[in-house]
Amino acid sequence: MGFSEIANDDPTGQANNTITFTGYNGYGRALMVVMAEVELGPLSFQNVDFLAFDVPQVAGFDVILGRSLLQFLKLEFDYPAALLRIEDGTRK
Amino acid sequence: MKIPLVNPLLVSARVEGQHGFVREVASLIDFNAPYCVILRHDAIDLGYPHAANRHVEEERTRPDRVPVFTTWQGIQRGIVVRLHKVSVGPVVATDVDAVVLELQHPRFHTFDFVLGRTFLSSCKLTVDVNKGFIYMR
Repeated sequence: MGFSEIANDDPTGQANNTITFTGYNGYGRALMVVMAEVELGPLSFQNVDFLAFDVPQVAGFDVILGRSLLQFLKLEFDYPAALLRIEDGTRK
Repeated sequence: MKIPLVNPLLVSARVEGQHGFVREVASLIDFNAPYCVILRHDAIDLGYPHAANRHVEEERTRPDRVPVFTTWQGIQRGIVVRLHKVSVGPVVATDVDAVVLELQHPRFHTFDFVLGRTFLSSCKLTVDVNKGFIYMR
């Protein structure tokens, strides 16, 4: 997707866009990249920040949608009915 | 119930363990976590002494208490405790399973508890990050 610097695993020469973050299992380090466009069904969002790191294959998915995208969304989780509704949260 | 959204998705939850022991805990809402997560010292204080064990030790005698589950970090294992009651405002769930994970830096987190799907499965939840509120019912 055009972010070749992500392949750099040299610990002595980190890229400027390397950031440290915390999850509930400790600290992680990853490169931040800006995706030009993210589409979710009919919704489209420009310039969304993503962290680039490998998610274990056993997880069963490829991408995690975090707050850099969720801030633009309104989410309705109906767990008993097993439904998720996603709307554009920036619309008035 | 309308809850102001603190960054990250934090709410205050009331957790009741065995023998009526209760704790108010700052809780992270994790829509995709299969289990709630409780810190080891909270689980012990709430009446679950087996939470003091390491999961590899617990598994030898009580494998039923050490579930295997997957998260985005890979395969996880932890000791499970069944909480008598977990409530966020008027939203109450009983007999909620929570796991004790062996966290790298448990004292450095800004929250004490993770509300996973063992609690959320009984809820309807609307998250509006833009307006800064969560609606839970």
